[in-house]
Amino acid sequence: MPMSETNTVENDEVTRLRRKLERARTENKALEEMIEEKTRSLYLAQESLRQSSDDLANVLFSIQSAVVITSASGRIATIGGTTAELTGRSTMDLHGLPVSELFSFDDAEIDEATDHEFGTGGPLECEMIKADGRSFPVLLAWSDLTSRSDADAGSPGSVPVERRKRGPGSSAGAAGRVYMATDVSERRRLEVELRHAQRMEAIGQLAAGVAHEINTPVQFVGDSIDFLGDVVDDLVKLVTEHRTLRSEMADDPVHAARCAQLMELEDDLDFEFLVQEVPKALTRTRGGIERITTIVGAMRQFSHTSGSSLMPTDVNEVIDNTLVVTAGQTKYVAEITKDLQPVPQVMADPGDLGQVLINLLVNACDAIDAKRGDDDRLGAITIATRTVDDGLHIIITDDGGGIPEDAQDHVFEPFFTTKDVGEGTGQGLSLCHNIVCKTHDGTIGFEVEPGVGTTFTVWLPSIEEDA
Amino acid sequence: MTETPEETQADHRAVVLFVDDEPQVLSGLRSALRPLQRNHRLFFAVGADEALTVLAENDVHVIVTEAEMVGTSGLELLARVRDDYPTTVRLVLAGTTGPQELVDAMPVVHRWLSKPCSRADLIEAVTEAVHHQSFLEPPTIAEALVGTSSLPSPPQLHMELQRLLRSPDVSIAEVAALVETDPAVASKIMQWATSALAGGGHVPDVHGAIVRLGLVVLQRMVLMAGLVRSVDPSTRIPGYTFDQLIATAGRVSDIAGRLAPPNEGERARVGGLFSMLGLLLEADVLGERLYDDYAEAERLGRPLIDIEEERNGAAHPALAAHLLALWGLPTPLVDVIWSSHDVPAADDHPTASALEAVQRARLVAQATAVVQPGSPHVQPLSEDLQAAVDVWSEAARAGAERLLHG
Repeated sequence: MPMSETNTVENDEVTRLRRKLERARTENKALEEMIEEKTRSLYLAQESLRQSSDDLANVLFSIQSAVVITSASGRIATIGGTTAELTGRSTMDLHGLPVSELFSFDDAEIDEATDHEFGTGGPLECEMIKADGRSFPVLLAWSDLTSRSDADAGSPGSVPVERRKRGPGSSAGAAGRVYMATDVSERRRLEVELRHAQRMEAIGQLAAGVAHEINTPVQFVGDSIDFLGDVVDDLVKLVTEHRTLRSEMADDPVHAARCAQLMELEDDLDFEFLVQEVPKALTRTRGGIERITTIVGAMRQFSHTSGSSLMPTDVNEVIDNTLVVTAGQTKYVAEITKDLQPVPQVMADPGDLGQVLINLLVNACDAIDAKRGDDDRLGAITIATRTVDDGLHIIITDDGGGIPEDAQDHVFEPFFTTKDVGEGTGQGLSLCHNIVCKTHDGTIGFEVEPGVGTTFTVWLPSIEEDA
Repeated sequence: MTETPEETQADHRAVVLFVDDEPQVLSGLRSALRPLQRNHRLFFAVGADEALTVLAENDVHVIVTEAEMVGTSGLELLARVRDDYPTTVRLVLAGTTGPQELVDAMPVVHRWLSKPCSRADLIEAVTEAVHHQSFLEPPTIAEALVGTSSLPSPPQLHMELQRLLRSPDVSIAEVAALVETDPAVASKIMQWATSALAGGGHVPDVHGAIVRLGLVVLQRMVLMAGLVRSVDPSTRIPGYTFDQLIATAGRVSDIAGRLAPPNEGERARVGGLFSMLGLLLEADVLGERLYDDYAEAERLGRPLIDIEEERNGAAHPALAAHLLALWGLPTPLVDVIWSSHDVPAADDHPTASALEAVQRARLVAQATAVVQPGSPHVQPLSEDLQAAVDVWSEAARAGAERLLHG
């Protein structure tokens, strides 16, 4: 075989191989590029997934409600929103806890409020339970989850998966549930306050009407008493003259018999007694009428119609009026001692301030009543006013044994009550706190002497002097 | 309707009519007010219809009615009385006294009393009303005075007061400071604060009056009851512009407050503020007569009040006093206004009373006032008095210094 031929054949082979190699290289490169491309898009997908996961986690934690995600078995898997703040429990504490220990609902209620077609439910009003066992009202809504294994209770931030539409009537098969609970205690408090204000307004209008109905008869009874007083004076004057005449004529034989008859009649009627006692009876009646007038006048303080209006107020006068109005409730329970010193005027709403005092007095009486049991002994309440540098103090002391220690931290909370169901709304002191602190820029506090009694002190700031 | 049996043919006793929808209230009043019957003819009418019959048949000097009545209300009745019997003084004896009642009553009521009202307070209110009504001769003056339910204020006051009352954190002191620049509104506020009290306590000054009423009620009075009436541009006062008159009253008030003895400062300030009220009143309702008297005073070179006294029997300070008395303002204050233009003794002792402080303050203010010497508004002063005024002037300045520098 000639050299050239061999060379040619060899060259062909080489060329072919070279091309093949070239192709392989190209393919390889394309593959590499493809892999790189895939890797990059995978990376991007992962990034975007991470991003949306982070976003969702952020959303989950920035929701201003408690968010609780449970596994299919009803145990808490994840929490979000303000769950931790509201309940005072950490993620660790809550993880794995049956959801029924966090909310005061029963399964029947939940079942009834669930739309089984979509697996969503609510809103349902129930209580959410704090770490210390106390609870607060929430509005609860929920939604079932799908594709979630019971075992894998996710970590905080793990994202719930898509919601699934289910056939009608199917309730099983949920992989878990998202609960969202909104704290409504502030709203409840406002509702109660509004109801209270409306009630006070109604009472105020009623009081104004009653005042008219009472003042009118008091006017004519008073006028008639004045008249009777005049008449009695005049009649006594007249009869005295007649008696003088009668005694002058007693010796006159013509009139002696008639005079003796008259004297007998005077004795029968006990004239001396009448002369002494009738003016006293009139004075007594007048005193009674004055008391009625005082009570009606004191009621006026509470008959303001709407809204609070602060005005320069003599606190001692408000106390006097309040004691007049509450006398009916307090006098069988406690003896109230007034220790009022001259105090400067403060900016106050006399009606609202009277409310605060009524609440404090009635609470004091209830404490005394509870402590004494069947004993009829009267308790003691002291109400005092004192001037302090920047305003004044109203100090109410009772000997009702003192607020129990476990209740002391909560007395100003709305709906907190130590009284039996039906006896108190738990609104009294919370309302006092609001009126004193919010409306009047003052403070209210108390000290307890265990086993002896409680002293409430209200501080009200003095009127700011105008420059 | 019933009348007391004491009625005689030629009867010059003042006629007082009591109205209530409850006959028992009237019976009570009839028996309790027996002491009044010596000098008054008393009528008692059940409801507004009977009252109107009595009014038609008698010259009633004073009417005292319940405000809320079945059928025609007392306030509606009083509105008719105001229109048809303009010289009858209108009092209310009310079962309920609330902010709204007072606001509704403002335009038609001279004085508001609350049930239960003691016999002494009632007798005092009625005799005062009779006293100030029956003194008013000729009838045109009586009509003008009894018919006056408000006095004119500077045009900008209404807006300023409204603006102030609307701002959420306004203080009573700020409102009082504004009201104290205007005798018209100040006197109305004093009237209603005194009424609201109904016999208990006393209202020392404008600030105290606003405290009594409260800013909410005051706002309602401004918005709904026309508490402020802006002066009619055609109203003219001889010798003064309207603003000068108001400013002068403010000055007299200010100086009187500084000259007054320590416990009389409030009354002196209020008395000073009201010392020009009579001119305001005359300019408002008796404009022609005032101009006539003023021209006569100018012609003769004599003080206006002397001419008024001679021609009408009463000068403007007396008219102001009558008006304020009809409105139920406290008697000591009314007395200050009554004698505010009398010439005080020319001595340099400290003032003994609010009245003396107002009298001196008037002369001090007159010495530096916008009116020229020789004007009928200026009282000619003897040399002694002139010297005394200089001393008082100095004392007022020193008082101002004291106030400024503690």
